[in-house]
Amino acid sequence: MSQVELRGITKRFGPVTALNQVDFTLNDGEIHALLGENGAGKTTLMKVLYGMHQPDEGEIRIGGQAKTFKNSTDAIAQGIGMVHQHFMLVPVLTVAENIVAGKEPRRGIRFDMERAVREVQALSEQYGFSVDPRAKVEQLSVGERQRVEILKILYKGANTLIFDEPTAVLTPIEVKELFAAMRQLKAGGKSIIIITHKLYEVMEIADRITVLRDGRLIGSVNRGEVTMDKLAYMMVGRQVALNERRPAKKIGAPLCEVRGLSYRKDGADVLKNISLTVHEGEILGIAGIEGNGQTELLEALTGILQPDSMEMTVAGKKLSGGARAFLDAGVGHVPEDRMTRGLVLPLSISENAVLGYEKQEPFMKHGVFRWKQVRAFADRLIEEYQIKAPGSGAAVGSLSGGNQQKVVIARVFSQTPDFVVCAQPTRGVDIAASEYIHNVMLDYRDKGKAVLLVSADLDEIKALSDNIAVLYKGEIVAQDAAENFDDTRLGLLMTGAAREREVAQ
Amino acid sequence: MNWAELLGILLISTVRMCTPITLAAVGGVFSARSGVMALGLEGFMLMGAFGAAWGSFVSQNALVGLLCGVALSAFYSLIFALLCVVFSVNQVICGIGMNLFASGFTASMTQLVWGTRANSDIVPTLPHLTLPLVGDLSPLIPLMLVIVAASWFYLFRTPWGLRLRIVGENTPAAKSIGINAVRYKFLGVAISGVLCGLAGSFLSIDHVNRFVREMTAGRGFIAVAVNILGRFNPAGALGGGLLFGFTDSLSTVISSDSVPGQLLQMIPYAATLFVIVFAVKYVSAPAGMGKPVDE
Repeated sequence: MSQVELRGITKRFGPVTALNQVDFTLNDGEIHALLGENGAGKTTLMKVLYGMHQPDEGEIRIGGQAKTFKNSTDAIAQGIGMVHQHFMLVPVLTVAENIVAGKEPRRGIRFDMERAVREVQALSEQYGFSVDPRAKVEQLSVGERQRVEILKILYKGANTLIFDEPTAVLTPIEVKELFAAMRQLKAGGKSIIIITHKLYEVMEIADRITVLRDGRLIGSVNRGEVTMDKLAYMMVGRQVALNERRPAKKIGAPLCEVRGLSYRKDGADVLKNISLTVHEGEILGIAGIEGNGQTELLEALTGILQPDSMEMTVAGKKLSGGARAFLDAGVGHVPEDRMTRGLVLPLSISENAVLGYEKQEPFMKHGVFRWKQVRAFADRLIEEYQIKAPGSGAAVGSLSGGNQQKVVIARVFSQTPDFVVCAQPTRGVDIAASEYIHNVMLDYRDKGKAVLLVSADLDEIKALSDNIAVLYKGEIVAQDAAENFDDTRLGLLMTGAAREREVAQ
Repeated sequence: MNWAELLGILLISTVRMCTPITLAAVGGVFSARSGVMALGLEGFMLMGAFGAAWGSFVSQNALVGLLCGVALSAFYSLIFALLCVVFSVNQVICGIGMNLFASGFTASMTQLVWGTRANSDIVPTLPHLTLPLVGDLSPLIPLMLVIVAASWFYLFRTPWGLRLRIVGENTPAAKSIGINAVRYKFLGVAISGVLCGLAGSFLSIDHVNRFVREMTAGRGFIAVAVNILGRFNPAGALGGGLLFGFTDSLSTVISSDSVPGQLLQMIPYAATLFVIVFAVKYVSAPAGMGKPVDE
């Protein structure tokens, strides 16, 4: 029996057709992945199901009966719940208050906090989630907050749970815990829809997969019947090279050398005596679980953070000073988070295209901007890096994530720095744009430049790096050629279960 | 003078002076907790003070005056809610605008009704209670205490209070669980309007017997500071109100032989400045404050 059915859904926003005659069927007790590139219409389709959008055509059937949802309250009443990508929680309130809000247990006119705590406790035990109902949400980790979100919709009686890009904010270990929780929910008779564009997640968790592209249904398949390559083809519409390796042909002389980088914060070692060498024509990947000093390493190498000790040379020149000095000395920086450090979202593409380089000619002369040159430069980047944008005057914030990231990439690589620090270059970026960005990095390496890659995506590290260094608790615990690492060896090193002493160079 | 007697006067005066500030601050709590910045309290109070004096003058009945004061201030606050919640006007600018308009409006209306901009004629004042021990007492003082307790109970012990706080912290989250955020924000602002109306009425038809131009004299702004100092909690608003009521009453109680009167009159405002400088940074406001309703 099919529990939830969407038939011929069409949704238009003004002149744009976001969804075009899309069918979607969710069977009872299955985990169903809704796969597609950014902008394919996945979230729009689910917002239709959750009552946040009303379809222009088509119908929603629950248990065989046609339903109309005026708002999400109607959808909740039909047992549909959504775990939003940006958590809908109030940090200053307790877990119990967050979960029961909207359907509070009462004693007379009073809110019955004791009963709320008991009910939340019982519910979380039922699904094997350990959360303290009396804890404030602000004290919880991201993974725990997500569990509160899940409990929140279970409390409202949801049978169908929609997860919108649930792994985007999680660490690899939290992803494993989430998938375990999903399997538990499935065992408890719940049906799950997971919106994602990550293929390996789909292959790991989904029973069935529905692929959307440009607002159209491409097909629904069982997991057993497809391969990652096939899914990528369905998603993008052409063959994609998935994590295909393209090792360096020739690694040259050392271009960037870092010696004795140490940094202590609040009495604890954050970075311990790190030494790294990146050669001409080499991508050095830093593998490690997030929070092991990556952020501080990046900041030290780009001059944002003043470490306690570090000697760094690029192309034989010794570096000192702040971020500005490092930029001028030829250290390019693709920051971890494009929203906070990479871009100024309300400003135009032209303005963002010269950020950090704005004082150089021809962008500025005698302290006055030469907008004509800046715009011409931005137009050139848009063309060259295939950035999808209405024009160089458009606000960067109006672009999709992938195109925003391309603006950052274009800005950094177009200045031809000797050494580029690339952090999370494809985080939250769809497959086609990821592939493009990877190619830019590889081509740049082949020109004989040095690239340092930090990424939480281990597949990305393995695919791009020529050499890999493993960072654990602020120390490089191993360094070797990329092809010498397999998942087991990397896993042991990243979790601190093993350390190798071949570090000394 | 007898010290015990002086202390008694000071105590009664403190409670009296704290009443309008506390009422306005509790109103501010509701507004802030629903996520609307409570910057228009001064303007609401001034409207309340004028409305009360006018109603009392026209009807020659202070209770009608009180109703008029509350109604005018509540109506005025609804305009503020409309601008901030429905039209997403910047709340700081809108609050300042409300204060400026109230100042000009009440002065012009005073001119129209009584022929001078400075002050109204004498109007009937609210009947006072006579209690043993305390003596003569404005009915608004016990009412204020009841309001503080009821507000605290509503905000922190009822489901609706929880919902109002969720709206103020994270409006999209509130909407995602089917809470009507716009309605709660209107409610929060309207309650602030009603309570500021009471506070203003206390000034014009209880504390004195006429409307005087700018008679709120910054008490609405002090209430904003008290609101923060009291951590957006009605009980805290009462505590802060008492502190400022005390500073306010110092100038009326202590005879100005030894200390220049100007220095004494300065105390409440200096205290406000101290609060803003030293206390405010330790208090975190509701996270959704000042943000428009639409995501």
